[in-house]
Amino acid sequence: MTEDNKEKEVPVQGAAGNSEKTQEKHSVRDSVYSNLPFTVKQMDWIIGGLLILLAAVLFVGIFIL
Amino acid sequence: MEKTSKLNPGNLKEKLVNNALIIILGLMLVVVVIIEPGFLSIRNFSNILAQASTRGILALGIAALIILGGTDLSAGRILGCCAAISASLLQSTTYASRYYPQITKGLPLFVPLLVSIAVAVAFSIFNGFGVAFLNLHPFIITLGTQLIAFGSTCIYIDSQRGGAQPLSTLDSRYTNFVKGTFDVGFMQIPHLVVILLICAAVVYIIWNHTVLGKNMYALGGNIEAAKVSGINAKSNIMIIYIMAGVLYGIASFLEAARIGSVTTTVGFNYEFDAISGSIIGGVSFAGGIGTVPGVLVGVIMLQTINYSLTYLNVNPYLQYIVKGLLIIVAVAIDARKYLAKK
Repeated sequence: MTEDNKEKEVPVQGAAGNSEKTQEKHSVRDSVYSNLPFTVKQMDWIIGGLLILLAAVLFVGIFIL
Repeated sequence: MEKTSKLNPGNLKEKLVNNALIIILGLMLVVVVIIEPGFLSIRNFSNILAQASTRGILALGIAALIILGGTDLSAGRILGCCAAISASLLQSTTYASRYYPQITKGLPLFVPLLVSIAVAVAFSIFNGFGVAFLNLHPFIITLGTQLIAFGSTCIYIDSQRGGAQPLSTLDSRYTNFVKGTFDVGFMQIPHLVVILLICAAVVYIIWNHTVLGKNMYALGGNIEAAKVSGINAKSNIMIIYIMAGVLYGIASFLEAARIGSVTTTVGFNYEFDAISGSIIGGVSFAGGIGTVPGVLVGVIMLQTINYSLTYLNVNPYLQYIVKGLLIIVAVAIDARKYLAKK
């Protein structure tokens, strides 16, 4: 967990909404994608590149090999 | 207002990117049909559905674990182990080299089914205990279980009187039950498909209309918040692993009869088909997101591509590369959805 994520805190809401537990604060759970060093736009390019690679592999598989 | 937001180019782009894989797989199918028009036949469709059925049941189990924020790398090998047990208990009583010569009268079909479910559940309890009580990462514990299940299968198949040989010549009641079809008009619907639909309906109800289902999504979305709101994380995780085990047991029982001859290779890479089918169908590795119809569509799409590539005589090794790329694309799209939401 990065230092940034440790510092992020959210108020908890849920079934125990009226209890004392609502006063507690908990750190946001790390997601598998939390530390991705890309922006959405960069991910679009990556996905586009992967799709072209997939199409190329399929082309080779169907028409050449 | 709603109409204008639907026509918004930004929304359209989002929808296109988020459903890119389904669109690409659909386009691939169109190409296959153009190259081989004979691919579009009811027989092929029926075969694809039958092949997707056991993987679909397996995927329903794994998808729940992915929604929890984990995964299960042992599902395929657990399936192999339970399939070997089911097949050995249901070999024809007239077959001289059967595993259990002491069984002279065919067992009722539900007995091997229950044994298969019990063994799969035992493996799943082991996985669930590791994740829920020992806080082990699901990758690690299920990787270990994968090897344990594979070793057990090899020993089980190897300890036949005549040495290691495929568990074949199954009881005709068993194969007829699994491979049979219902005639509906001009179509023949495989029993396997009906069983998949029943399993999917039960899982759908559990995921969407029970407290357990709501807890599962809550735990996958944010386990800390779920715990604070009063959800017992450990018991819920255990129950979801046990549910997955039940589904693995059913899938194993069906798979053994579907392929008709069980060896140590049965179940190899099945977990990857199930995981990739789930991810293609919109289940998020980030946890807390996924639907039953999505999983079914993902698994059927993946199976259709597998089947069509084989139909086109594409090099089988290249099919592994295609599957690998599909998984990477699916995860990239999933990560993009996460980033866009953040």
